[in-house]
Amino acid sequence: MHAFKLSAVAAAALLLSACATQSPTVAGDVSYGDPKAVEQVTNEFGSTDLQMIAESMARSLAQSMAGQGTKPTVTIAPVKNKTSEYIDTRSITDSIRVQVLKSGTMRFMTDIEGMQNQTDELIRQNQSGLYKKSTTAKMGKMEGAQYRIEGNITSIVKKNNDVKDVYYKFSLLLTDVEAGSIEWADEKEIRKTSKR
Amino acid sequence: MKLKLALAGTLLCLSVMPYAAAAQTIASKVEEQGHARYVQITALKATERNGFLAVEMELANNDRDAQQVFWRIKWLDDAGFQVWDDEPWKPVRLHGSARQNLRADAPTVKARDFRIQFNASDNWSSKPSAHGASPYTN
Repeated sequence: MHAFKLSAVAAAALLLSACATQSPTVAGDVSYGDPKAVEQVTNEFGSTDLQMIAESMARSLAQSMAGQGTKPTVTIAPVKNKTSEYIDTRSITDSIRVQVLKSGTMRFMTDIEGMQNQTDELIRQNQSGLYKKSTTAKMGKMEGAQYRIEGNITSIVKKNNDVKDVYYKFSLLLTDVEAGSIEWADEKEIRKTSKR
Repeated sequence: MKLKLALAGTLLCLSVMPYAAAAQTIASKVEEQGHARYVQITALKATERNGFLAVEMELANNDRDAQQVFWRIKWLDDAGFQVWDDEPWKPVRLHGSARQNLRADAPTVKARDFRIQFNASDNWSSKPSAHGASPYTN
């Protein structure tokens, strides 16, 4: 009798599991997280810091350039990493550029790092002999940037037996290329504290 | 021009309304995850600058200990459609019994309305949800 009851329960469980909705996943132990969530794994530079900096700088830049009749042309220089840790500053400037471009307040010109690819493409189109002349991008027609953006990120790290405190400061400047004047500047500060 | 009049009207209404009515207006702009035990949004202002919507809110910590909250803004157009990707959640630490102003500028001129998404570490539930609703990872 006892064995019969156990068999009946097992059979019911099997039937119910067959009715459960299967999720469209392949078996594994990986789960996707929220890329916008606040990351508190360690107090080193992280995704949340990158996102906050990019958002703050992009919004400030877009606000300062809004209201101008024509969109100013800008080039962006690599941000200097003056901290003691490895930070991919290119990733920060890429995010700033994406957000400012989407805001529609500025036009970005090819930067120093992109010049090689730009030059290679122009040469390929004009000197390889493979393209119809009427469809190629012409040499000597590139526009210069009116402004350049540059900046740096610094950190101050303090620790004792109990606490480690890291302070980051990201600074960004917009300089008029012709006049050499600084037209806009802003900075973002972040403090992260953890128990040791 | 219509937006400016609407925003000016909202600002005027928030400044002259009785507290309960103002709180109700603020609540209509806030999507709170859970119910914050100690931190509240006590004031909310919006205006237009250079074609971009600017929002400023005041947070008040009613506890004597420091509290951590997370916030972000969902930007909407006139029809209520979201006009920008989800922003990153931003952590803010409020000192005990402190008030703090937070300001945000819209990322695009298409933004004509907003909702503040708000999550406090110390909610009425014992721990924040770990099933996708929490804005932080550990």
